[in-house]
Order: sequence, then C-alpha cells, then structure tokens
Amino acid sequence: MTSLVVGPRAQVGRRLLRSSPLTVTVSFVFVGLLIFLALFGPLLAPHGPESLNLATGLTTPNGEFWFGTDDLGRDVFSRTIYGVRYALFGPVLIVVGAFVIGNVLGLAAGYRGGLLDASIMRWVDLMYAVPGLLVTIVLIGVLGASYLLAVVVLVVLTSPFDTRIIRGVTLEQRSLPYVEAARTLGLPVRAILFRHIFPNILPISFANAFLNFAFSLVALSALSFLGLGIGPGTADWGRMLSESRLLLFDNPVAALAPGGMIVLTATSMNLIGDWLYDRLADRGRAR
Amino acid sequence: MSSNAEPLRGVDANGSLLTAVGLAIHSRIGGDQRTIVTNLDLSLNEAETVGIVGESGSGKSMTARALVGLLPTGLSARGEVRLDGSNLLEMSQRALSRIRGSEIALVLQDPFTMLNPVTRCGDQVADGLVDARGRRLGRRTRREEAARRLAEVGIPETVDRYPFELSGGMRQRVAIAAALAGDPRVLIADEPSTALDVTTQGEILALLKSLQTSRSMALLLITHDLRVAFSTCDRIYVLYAGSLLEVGDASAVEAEPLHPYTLGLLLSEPPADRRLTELVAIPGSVPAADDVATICPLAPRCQWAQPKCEVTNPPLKPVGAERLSACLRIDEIRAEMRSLRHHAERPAVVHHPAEASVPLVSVDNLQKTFADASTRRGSAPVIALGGVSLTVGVTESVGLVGESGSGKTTLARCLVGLETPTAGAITIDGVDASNYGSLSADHLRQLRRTVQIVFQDPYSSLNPLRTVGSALKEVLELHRKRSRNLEGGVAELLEQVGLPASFSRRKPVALSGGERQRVAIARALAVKPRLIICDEPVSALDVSVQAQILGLFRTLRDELGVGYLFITHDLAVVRQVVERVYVLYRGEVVESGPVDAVLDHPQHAYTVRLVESVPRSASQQRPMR
Ligand SMILES: Nc1ncnc2c1ncn2[C@@H]1O[C@H](COP(=O)(O)OP(=O)(O)O)[C@@H](O)[C@H]1O
Ligand code: SF4
Ligand SMILES: [Mg+2]
Repeated sequence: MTSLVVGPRAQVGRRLLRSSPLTVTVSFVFVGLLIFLALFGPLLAPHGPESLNLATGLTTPNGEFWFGTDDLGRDVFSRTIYGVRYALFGPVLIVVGAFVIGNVLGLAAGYRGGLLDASIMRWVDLMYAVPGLLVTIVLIGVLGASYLLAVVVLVVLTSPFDTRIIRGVTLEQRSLPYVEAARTLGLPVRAILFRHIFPNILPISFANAFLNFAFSLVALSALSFLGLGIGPGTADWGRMLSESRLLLFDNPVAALAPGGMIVLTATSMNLIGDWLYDRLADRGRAR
Repeated sequence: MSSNAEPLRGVDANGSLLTAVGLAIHSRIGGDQRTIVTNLDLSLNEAETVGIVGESGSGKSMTARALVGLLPTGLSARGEVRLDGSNLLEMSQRALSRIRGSEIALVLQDPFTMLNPVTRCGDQVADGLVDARGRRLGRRTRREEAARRLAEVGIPETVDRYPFELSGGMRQRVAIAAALAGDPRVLIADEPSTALDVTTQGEILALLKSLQTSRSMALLLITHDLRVAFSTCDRIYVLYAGSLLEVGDASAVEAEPLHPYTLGLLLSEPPADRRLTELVAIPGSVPAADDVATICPLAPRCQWAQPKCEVTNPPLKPVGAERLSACLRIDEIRAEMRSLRHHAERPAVVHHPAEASVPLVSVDNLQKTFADASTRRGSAPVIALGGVSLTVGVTESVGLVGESGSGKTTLARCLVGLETPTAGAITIDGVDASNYGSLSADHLRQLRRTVQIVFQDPYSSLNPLRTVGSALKEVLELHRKRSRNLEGGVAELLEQVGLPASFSRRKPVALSGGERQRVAIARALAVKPRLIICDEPVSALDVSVQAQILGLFRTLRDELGVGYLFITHDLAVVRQVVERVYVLYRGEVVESGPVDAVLDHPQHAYTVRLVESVPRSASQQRPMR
C-alpha cells in the first residue's frame, strides 16, 4: 500500500490511459484557474456582485454584460466570478474538518483496535446507514437555515467515509514490519502514529480529500438551491441557480453559468481524486 | 553425463535435442531498451538433466520462457532456439502452442499460476489427452488415465479434488502431471521447489529426477541453489547478469569450480553438515546486465580482477576437456582458488558459552491459539503453539528450525510482545514477559533493551519515507538520552553493520535488499540488546548477499557479545551460527540439543526428514532419496 514501493514505469502508461492525462491536466488547469479567481477575482470582475442595474434590467449577454444580467440587473459574469470564493470556501472547510476527524479517528481505530475500534466503527456504520442529505434537510429545516450549520452537518456526514478508509490503510500499515519494529523498539505510540504511519497514508487521505470536495460542493450547492444554505441574494452558485431558474427563457446564461461551474468544478475534483487513487492503487500492485 | 540411448527423432548430429545459439533477450519499456540475457549458447541432450544456476535477476526465468516462446509482453528474444531443426523463435504462435506441451513443457515456481482453480485435478491432467487416432478420450478412460498419471506423481487420490484443497507440494505435483500430459520430450522446471517447504522441496526434486529417468526425457532445471543443481543435474550452466560464466559437468564443477563467481556462490552456500571457520562472501550485489556489458560481469566484485578484465565481456573458452569458463585469468588463478576453498572449508569447532545458572530467556509451556479469522465463528481455532518450552542463555546463540506454519514466527512475536500468548510463561532477564500489556514502564523499557527483533522481509521493515539516519537517530534518542553526539552514534552503528556513514542520508528505496537488512540490524543494535531474535533474516536475500549477512551476524557476536535466537528453515544456516537448536514441528518442540548432535544424529522422525531433505550430490556420502 501507499509509498512502500515505487511502481515500475510500465504501468504508468496503462494507468494514465484509464483516466486520460488530458482530462486530468485540464482538471488541474481548471482548479488552478479557480484558485486564481478566488484570490484575484474581485479585481477582475467588471461589476460588483450586488450592484443592481435596475435601469438595465434583465438582458441577454452583450458587450458590457458578458453573461447578461438577472432580473435585478446584476451582472451574471461578475457574480459567477465572485461565486468561486463560496464554491471553494465551504467545501474546503468541510474537507479539512473531515480530514482531521477522519484521520484522528481512523488512525486511533486502526492502530488501537479493540473496544475503541468497535465503538468508532459502530458510529461509522450508523452514519453510513442514515440518509445523509435528507437528515441535513430536516435538521436545517428545524434549526433554521444557516451556512455554518450546513458546513458542520456536512463535516459530520463526510468524516465517516474518511474514517473508514483511514482505518483500513492504518490496519494494513500496522501489520507491516516497519511498524512492528517501531513498536518493538519501544517508540511511543504518538511517534509511531504521526511520524511513521501518518506520512505513509497521507497520499490516500489526500486523494480522498478531492473526492470529498466534489461531494461537498454538490451538497452545499443543493442546500443553497433549496434555500437551506447561504442567505438569499448571495453570489453563491447554488443560490444563483435557484434564483435564475425562472429566467431560463429570458437569459438562459444566468442559470447555465453557475450550474455549469458546479458541474465542471465537481468533475475536475473527482477526476483528480480518481487519478490519485489509481496511481496509489498501482503503486500497491507493484509490490 | 548424457545417456547412451540411441539417437532418437529430432536429435542433431551432436546428440542435442534442444539448442540455443546466441540467444539474446531484451526488454523494451517506454523508450529504453534493457538487456536481460546476452549471447547465450545452450544445449540439452536426450535424457539429460541440465541446470541453469544464477541469483535472482540473472535472467534464468526469462531464458526458460524464451525457450518455449512464452516471454512476457515487452520482452523479445533474438538468436536461435532449435528443436527438430526448426527455429522456435521464428515460429508462429499457433505452431509454438502445438509444440508446447507435446514437445516442451514448462513447470513454474508457483503451481497456482499454472492450475485452473475451478477445475478438478483429474481434469487438469487429462483434459487435453487424445487417443492414438487423435480423438478426445471418453469420460471413463479419461478418468482412468488421469488417475494413472496422478499416481505417477505420487498422488492418485487427488483426481476429484480442486487445487485449493491441496498443499503446496501436492499442487506442484499436479502441475507436473499436467505438464507431462502431452508426454513432452523436454521438461523445463523454473525453481519448481523454491516456494515449498524444505522437506517438500527435496521430494519434488526427487520426483522430477525420477520422472526424467523413467521417461528418458530431458530436464532443464532452473535454480538459484548451486547445491540443488549439483544434487540433481548432469551438467550445469552458471548464469550471472545475463551472461554465462561457466559450463561443465555437475560433478566436475562441484569438485573444482573454474570461475571465481561459481566458487563464490559455492562458498556462499554453506554446507549443512559442518560449521565453517570462515564464511566467505562475494562483496557487493548483482549488477544489471547493461552496466557490465563491456567488462567481465564479475569484475566489480572479483578479488582477482585486473585491468585486462575490464576491456571486454570475456566469452566462454574451453578449459581442459568438456569445461567452459568465461574467466580470462582462470589458468593463473586456479591454484589460488583451490587454496581459498580449502582454507574456507575447514570445519570449525562449536564453542558453547559457559552455562549460566539463570538463562536470559526462558519460555515455559507457551501456548498460542488463534481464532480462525478466515472462516468466522464455529470453526476450530488454530493452535500455533501447543506448549513450547525453551531457554536461551546469556550470550548464547540458539536456533529454531521447522517448516512454515510450525509456529516459529508466532513464538518470536510472543517474545517481543507483538502477540500475547494464550497460556504459559515467558521470563526475560528476570521479568515476567507473558503479557506486555500489563508491564510497568520500567520493565517494558528493560525488556526493549534486552530483546530486539530483525524481520524476514527487508523491503517492508524500514519506513520508506524516512532516511536511514533519521530511523537510527530516533532510536538512539529514545534509549541513550545522555549521549549528545547522535550523528556519531549513527555513524558508529552503520560502521558496525559494514555500511559507510554516508548511507545515513539515503532512503530505503536507494538500498539493496542486503543493505536494508544491514540497516534493520543496525536499528536493533541501537538499543544495545543482549539478544536479537532473527526471523528468517536471510531467506529473502540473494545467495551471495546471504553469506555477507551471516558473516555479519558472526562478527557482531564476536565483537559485541550479542546472542541470537535464530529462526530459519535452512539447516545449513543454522549450522553456521548457533550452538544449540530446537526443532519445532506443528507447534511443539520435537527435538533439541547441541547443533552438531541434532543435525548429525537426529532422533525424531521429523528431524530425520528435515536432515535428509538437504540436497546432496552423488559425491557426498548419503544418497539422494
Ligand atoms: N515482465 C517483465 N518486464 C520487464 N522486465 C522483466 C520482466 N520480468 C523480468 N524482467 C527482468 O528480467 C531480468 C531477469 O529476470 P528473471 O529471468 O526473472 O531472473 P531470475 O529468474 O534469474 O530471477 C530482471 O532484471 C527482471 O527485472
Ligand atoms: S575475468 Fe577477471 S574479473 Fe572476471 S572473473 Fe576472471 S579474474 Fe575475475
Ligand atoms: Mg526467477
């Protein structure tokens, strides 16, 4: 598993074919572009995200408003650019939260075993069993719509997946002689977990983080779309999609732009995550 | 040497059945081409057993596969492989597959890869059989024929069983029977016994030899073990980094190797019947064929190398009658080689350390039972250790031998707390070590400093992401808090195991198997243990590297006074490094005593079998069974 042996060159070809290098490269470029837009977007956007042009009203794409405007006369292009921040921010929070919880619980369960493992895995099984998004909707419906609440609930929903994966690879590493040697040498558990096992399973967590990102983006957008996430009027893709869906005949781009961005972003993240997984799996096979 | 049989169909003027001339094998991966075998000439006569001997990576397996046209994709062969006057390398796949099985058959190391898991053994053997007129046999006759053929390999009872129901040795017998189904004239066996237990290994080799004789077929045996080749073959070819270094009659090569590599290999494989004064090893490790393409391939490791050895890759040249050697200097150094061997093979006397009143480790009636994880609840638990008692004295070196599954590793793991015994007592240095989980921190530290372990697989026993230096420093920091000079400590440890201090900056990927095992030993030494448990520490290594590591164990013993519990299946290894030995069989000690006494006069039936399974050539006293 993971980085014990670097796979022979021969397999690189086959592996790249499966998830073709072009699509992965394009995905990386696209994600790079998103990060750039998140940082510098406001400098590039021709209009403010909230600035209303009631005089202009609803227009189709033209020289000034590349993607046209919505019913309040807001520039769809600028709003799409501003939306990148929300699209990255929420999922990143969720990914980081799930990463920390998943790694800590997964390492503890996999390494310690016994009762701790049994309890953690019962929790994981339970979370697998509940219909996640439905529970979220009910919960937010009861507690009131809030972006932060949506993020927290999604962290709780995502981390069991991380936990299960990390537990599995930890178990695998734990039985390898290098870990057993560390135990026999009397190294403290902390050192074994964080100095030895963790760096070796990091690539897996990393690949998983990309897949989690895609899932979280779609889930958050869906909640926004339902009005259960971010507040009305915000330049969030999910929100924009729901607010523009009635304009489909007047300015289809107002709905297609945020919708397309969600699909492209999630697909890119998935492709990158899959590609990383495949690389790791091939590495494992090379042993 | 070869048989006196009348020349038969397909035998050429020299009596050769299968010949390879100028065989070269290359692999092409991406853009770069690598040489695997160069310029190999080989002949196999009717009813002859020929061995190809070489360490891993020398190209033995690929040679075997090239001979039957079964090279993996990416590899290609050039030259000639002649059978019945036609060149197999130029044949169509269709024609080749007709020849495979009926003329030449192949048996591989892992029988599982050759058997269809969902087909009964009888069908595996008899499926392709046809009657005299080329028609498929009827069901009844097919079954009878399968039974007859499985009886030929000694397992008639397996006709209706599936491969997974059988032991490794039985599976290999089925694979052999299946390979022989088409009554081939040539059988090529690639390490047919390497994956098996020692006692089974001997049986499979004996079976192959007897089949070869009774069917007067030609047998090409591929092995990394010179002694196996000596015991089974008429002639041997010594292959190294893709080049043949020596060819000759097995008995003649055994009596006097005519290439420094063959001599080195011979001395690297210590005999099981006596302890040698000195373990001579070839330094370094096997190079890639392309790295030694224009020099004598052994030159970087040869003690007799001279500038002229690095000018060309020397071809095989006749030395006396019927011998070929690729050593340029063989005539000059022959006498020196003879005296080196004579010197190295002097038997040594085993010194038993004075018996201390209290042993360092004592194990009393130790039991370990595993709930069978594979088959869930309700099935019988596996008894790995069924009441084992043993002691290891202070500075003593004790061997633990037995076949795989006999409980050796479980015992080792119990001793260092990686496994908790089900019952029984372990006392180490006065501390009750039966349950590591309940020990106080002080006692735990004391045990860690007393006993350490070195594992079998050098490839996974080091953290791939950490440098050698940081791995060693980490342990030094923990156990020698007072010492300031950690760098110096690391350098000293590396020196103790024969590695340069500069290795501390390397990561495991940049190390060979032998070097990794040295680092693992250094890591164990870092706590200054009094006993190191070595669990098959050399069995994953090349023969020539094995000898280096065994030599290292001996040196450390002499210099540091560390004792060993040496776990191995290899009696030759055990004879070289321990004073006392325990024989473990199915979780019980069946025999124990001084190593000479046990190996020379085994009492228990299992020990007798173990000792008899050591390959012996005709020139050695006891005959092959
Ligand atoms: N499928 C393959 N593709 C490329 N190279 C291979 C392949 N199989 C083996 N080799 C290379 O061929 C060389 C000889 O291998 P092999 O014949 O298996 O050696 P041996 O049997 O002596 O251990 C090695 O360097 C190995 O890396
Ligand atoms: S040719 Fe030279 S280097 Fe090669 S084996 Fe002979 S003496 Fe050694
Ligand atoms: Mg091989």
